[in-house]
Amino acid sequence: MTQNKKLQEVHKEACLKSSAALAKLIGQQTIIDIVNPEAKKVKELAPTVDLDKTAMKTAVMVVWLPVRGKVKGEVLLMFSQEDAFDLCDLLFKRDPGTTKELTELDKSALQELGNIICGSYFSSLANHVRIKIVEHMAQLTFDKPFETMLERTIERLAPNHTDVTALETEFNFSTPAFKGHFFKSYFLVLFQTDQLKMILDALQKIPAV
Amino acid sequence: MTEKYILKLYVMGDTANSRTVIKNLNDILEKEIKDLYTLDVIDVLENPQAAEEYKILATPTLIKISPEPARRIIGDLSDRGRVMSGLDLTDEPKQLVDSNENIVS
Repeated sequence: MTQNKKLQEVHKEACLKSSAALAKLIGQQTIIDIVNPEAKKVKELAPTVDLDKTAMKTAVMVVWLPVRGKVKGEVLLMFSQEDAFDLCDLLFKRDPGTTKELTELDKSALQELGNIICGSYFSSLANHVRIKIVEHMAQLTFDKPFETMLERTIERLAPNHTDVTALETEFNFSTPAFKGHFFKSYFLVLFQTDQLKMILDALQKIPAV
Repeated sequence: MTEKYILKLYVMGDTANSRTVIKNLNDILEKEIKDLYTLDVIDVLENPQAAEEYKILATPTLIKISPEPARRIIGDLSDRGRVMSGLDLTDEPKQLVDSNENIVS
């Protein structure tokens, strides 16, 4: 099996774990749409999900989570502001369309949601590659364009902006509680290039999943 | 007489991901079991009850209802060998599915 196919299989399982954790958090059935990840150089990145066409320039909700341990990386999970409001309605069992601005409690809940999605994803990945990956506490920003968040993230990883590779995918899900609603997010995992290579090499060594 | 394949494919919305999986599956079915299958494509956004009925946790999911045993395959169905194996069209080992409709990892 090729490295890419193995990555897709591990990604699929990690998404299912994240989805199950999310279902537990919201107490509802959650269905995740599995979109295969693509490895890209940072200069090729642009949100591919159908958020606002100007998502790079306008404020969005970004959950940001540092990953340390044997590999140094960063995760960015981006939702549109409208979806962030709807997620709060979902988390607090309010009628759809109730939330118009975020309270501190709402922000805390969204941060927890990011923690759960990203944490479950990385636990699953770490189990497969058998590399110690330590996730830190997720942080939430709601007032900055994605472009700014991406720039700052890259600076933390590689101050000269070189040798950073991203796994770009989407974390899209629906729940019958919000019939017909499709929560779309842009899920970006950034690693220093040599460390992503270490993960991909480790994937190559494990049996097919 | 060969038993007809009854298949259900669950997708989420009219997205590039959904269109890709429908095309991948149609290509395989038309080549391998042309005229011997019924495929029902279900959008879980339009029909969430149908997703609950079969306890769908992820899309795309393909369920083979018959011939028995029932099986399910999750993913974009781009790996032809695994799809064929999941549908019992080859003798290859089943790495993605088992007879209890669970994903084997």
